[in-house]
Amino acid sequence: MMNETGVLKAEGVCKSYGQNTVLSGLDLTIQPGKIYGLIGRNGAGKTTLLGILTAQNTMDAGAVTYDGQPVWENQWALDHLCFSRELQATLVSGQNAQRVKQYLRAAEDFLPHWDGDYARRLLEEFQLDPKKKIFQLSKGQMSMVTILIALASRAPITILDEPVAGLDVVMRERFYRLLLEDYGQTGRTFIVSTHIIEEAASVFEDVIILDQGRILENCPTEELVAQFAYLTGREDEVDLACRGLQVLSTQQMGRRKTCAVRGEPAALSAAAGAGDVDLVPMNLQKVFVALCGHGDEL
Amino acid sequence: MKRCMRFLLRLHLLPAAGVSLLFAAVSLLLGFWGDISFFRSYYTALPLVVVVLLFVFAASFTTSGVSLALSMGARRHDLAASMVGGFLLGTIVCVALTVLTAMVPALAGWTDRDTYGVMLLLSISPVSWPMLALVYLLAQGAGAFAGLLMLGHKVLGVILIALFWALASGLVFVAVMIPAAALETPLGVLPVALYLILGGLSVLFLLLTGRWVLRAVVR
Repeated sequence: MMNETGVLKAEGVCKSYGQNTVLSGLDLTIQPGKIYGLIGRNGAGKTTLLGILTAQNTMDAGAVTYDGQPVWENQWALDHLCFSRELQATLVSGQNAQRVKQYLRAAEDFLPHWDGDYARRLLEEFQLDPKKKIFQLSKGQMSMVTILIALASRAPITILDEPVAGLDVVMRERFYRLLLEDYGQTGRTFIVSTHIIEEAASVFEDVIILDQGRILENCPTEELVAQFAYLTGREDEVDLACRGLQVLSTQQMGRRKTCAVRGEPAALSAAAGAGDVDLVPMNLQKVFVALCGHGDEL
Repeated sequence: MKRCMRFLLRLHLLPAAGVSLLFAAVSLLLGFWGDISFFRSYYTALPLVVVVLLFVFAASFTTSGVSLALSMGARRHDLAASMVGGFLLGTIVCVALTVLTAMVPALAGWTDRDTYGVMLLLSISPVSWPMLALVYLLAQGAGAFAGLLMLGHKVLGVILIALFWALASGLVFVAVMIPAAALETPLGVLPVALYLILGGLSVLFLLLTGRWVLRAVVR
């Protein structure tokens, strides 16, 4: 039997909102001590999945366990998880008039591993005014609060949903640096959901691709990227080179043809060497588009 | 459980009781010590102000506090239980605050001032305290439920708020007038059924809110 120490696991998770099925029979295993990137198109079910993993959302069927124990209504398991959500400027009751310090106090109240000193340092580094109300913050500043809570939570499994949304490039770089520093010091698990794929790709040790309510991929980023490439050349040469490979999409321009293909790295190299075709490696963003583009590839 | 209770006290009870205390202090000082009759009118409205504050802070707790607590890893049963405990504590604290405030003019020798008869009644006869407590508890239960309704059906939430205000104004008046009526009719001025209905409504609202907390989705 697999060692489940520190493992967060979802099995057969189903979730629908009315007639809209968001997750269907989803299985996912999060191993301890890794930085995971969770990517998926808008509406793929990323936030729903993260909510279910941390018992912030309900599920229609399935089970979520941490360390072999159910997460739902289990304070011990919940104490090991932190899902720092995107802040909302408006709530149903009107503007989100809660102050930053109220969020930090709530975090202090509930998160057992909360590092107050680190939170204060980050508050200074991000130049956030704790007295400011949430609706008075810019989108970037709201992201900073989300990041601050996630990092200072020191939770063994820390989840960030779109942490870099609204951040300028300097702040995004600073976030990745802080994330890696923290990871280097603590070795805890991070799950980061993002749409800014290429920029974050080098940070992700493993990548999880979610599409239409199911996990398409959950594997080391480098391993995944190495399986994808474009083969470009004369049509008949490309067709020949593509034999034995999974062709994800094609684009024809006159007699030249480009195919997005998937195969074992050795098979890709062999295909490129077989004829007069160019092998162009893909980056993670291109891989994602090839897998989830549904006709919008290349 | 302790974390949820601390969170609820910070978000609900302390602001509601704190603002009530501030209101009581200002209206007492300016109305009696400062002898400004305008503020004595405010002073007599204290029970209604407390009802408003308890209602508003309870509604705000369900519209934003519950999500915040759950997003930080609170256990749902703990949160629901602490809401019941916190609302009961809020009721006791606010009844004590109202009654003690009602006693101040007599203790300070400000009995020559007029227009505080209603509050005086509250201070001299404990028969109105259970009714006042029920109204305060109902305010929190209804507030929490109204907040919950607002999340799904804003219009229904607004209708409940309007209905509650009409009811609460009448109930507070009845509560503070019990002693006056009792002086004339010593044998119970209010039917037991009224207490039961108010208590039942409070329990119903708390149960519905608690049930919702157990299935709430953080957004």
